[in-house]
Amino acid sequence: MSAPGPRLGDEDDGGLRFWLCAVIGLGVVVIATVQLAGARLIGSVGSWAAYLLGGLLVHDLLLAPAVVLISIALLHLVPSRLRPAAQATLIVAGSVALVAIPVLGGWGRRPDNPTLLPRDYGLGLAIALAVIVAAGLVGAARAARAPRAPAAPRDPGGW
Amino acid sequence: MSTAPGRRGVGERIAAGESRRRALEGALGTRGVVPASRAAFPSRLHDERIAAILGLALGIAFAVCFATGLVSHLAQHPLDLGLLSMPAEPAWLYRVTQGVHVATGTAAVPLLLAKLWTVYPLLFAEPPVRNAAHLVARIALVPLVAGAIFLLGSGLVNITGWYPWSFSFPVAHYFTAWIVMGALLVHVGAIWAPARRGLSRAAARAPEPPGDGLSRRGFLGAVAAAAGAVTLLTAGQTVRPLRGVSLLAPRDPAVGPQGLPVNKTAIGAGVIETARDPGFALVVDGDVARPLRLSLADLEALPQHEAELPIACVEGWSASARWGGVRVRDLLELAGAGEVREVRVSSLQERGSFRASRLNAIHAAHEDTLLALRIGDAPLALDHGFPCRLIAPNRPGVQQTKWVARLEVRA
Repeated sequence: MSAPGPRLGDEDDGGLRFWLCAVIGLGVVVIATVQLAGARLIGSVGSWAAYLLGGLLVHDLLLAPAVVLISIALLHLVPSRLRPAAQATLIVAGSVALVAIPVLGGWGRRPDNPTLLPRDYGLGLAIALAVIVAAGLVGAARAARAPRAPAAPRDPGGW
Repeated sequence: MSTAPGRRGVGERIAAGESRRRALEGALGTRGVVPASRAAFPSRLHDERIAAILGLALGIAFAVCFATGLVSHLAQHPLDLGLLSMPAEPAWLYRVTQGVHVATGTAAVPLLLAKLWTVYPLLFAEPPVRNAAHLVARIALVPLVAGAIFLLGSGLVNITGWYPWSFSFPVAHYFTAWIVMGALLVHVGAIWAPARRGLSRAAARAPEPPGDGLSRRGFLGAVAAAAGAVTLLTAGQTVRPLRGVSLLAPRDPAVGPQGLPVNKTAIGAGVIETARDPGFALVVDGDVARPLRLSLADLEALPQHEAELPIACVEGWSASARWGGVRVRDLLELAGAGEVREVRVSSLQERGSFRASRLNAIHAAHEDTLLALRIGDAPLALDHGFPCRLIAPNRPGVQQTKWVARLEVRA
């Protein structure tokens, strides 16, 4: 096994630079939070806090684990030489699908304003995903035809 | 791996002055101190260089969003700010800054998700806290990550006209941006050294970590493709040539009465009756020598001017049109206004946060600032502000007051 390089998570252990950034940065965080909570027009601060923390929890407890599960499935279902194309396709398609949720749901539509959300977004998303998957299939076909690389050390791959 | 010559024990290493961490690593090899998270997340893509590159890209994206967001904030708030007052030229400035704001925020979605996924194992780091600095850095990650998700998520929802929450979007979006910037500063302080290492030339030359599946390069390429895809699929709401491929844009700049989208309709504003009232009159008053009361026919009889100006909405769409009408400065002159500090422009609309706007002195005096009566050769559609609306260069759409009933001069 080659010498381990620097690894993810090897952070600074607190020099002057860090503490300077920390004091100023946390100061800005505290001031901005107080200003927000005290703003005349903010409306419900509780609603803001719920959406703020809700987004974090949805990512950490739902979205990220879902990606892990999809990755495990990919490891078992897709042969290793086709895996890069499958991964890239899922990354692009997943991003597009996520960004499409608010327009697809159309919750902002108002009967008096047909210029807001004027398109057929279901059709739009289907076309976009079809193009992305087609590009992924082209990539996979090229990978399948390419000469096999010299045997690399077995590695479980992973997620 | 054969036994390394001169292998020393942990105790010896610590005695020789190595840190505990380094001694453990040296004596046991990486595997000895590999935290549980590393075994659970074996992909080679949870990698320092990837984290550094995505972090840099995301940092640039957030800096662009913050700067353009501040421009938009200043454009919508007290306008008499001396040098910080919104200029009237170039006319396209706000259209570009706000288009860039929304497009960059949209493109940042795949960047943020990829970055969070790259460092996700660190959420389960062992030990959870190494020292005081690590504790502070980890605490700052809560406002950073929660705030970043909030900014992108609430922005994407807001541009579709959907308000599922009960806070004010502009207020919350603005202050949360400051929270994220503060937390980002703490984060930059914490990851400065590893980020520099990850971005260094040596790291660029280092071979790909072993493993199969996507390579680092392939992963970054896929994330870039995702950012490009969401941009192409939405940016056509302001970059007109892209409207054919922007299948997921919340607006089509060509769809609307007279070929222009609408944000607030006449029905929504509750002005159907008052706007059509033949007795309509525009009032020009305040600090003026001769207060005016002008009917639509009076306005049509005054010297008419034309200007090609965009409607550039805070929600990131924009569309240009040829507007015709009376110059605001001609009206002010007719009313005998002297030195103008500000003009308050009020709508027939009786309720709502955007029923009035303010023109700063620069905008009020500009030759293209019109009380528009026409788009092209046709009278304004009711939804575009019939009988007359304000249209001025380099202003957010919400400040281009429609169904204007009164210009109140403040000297």
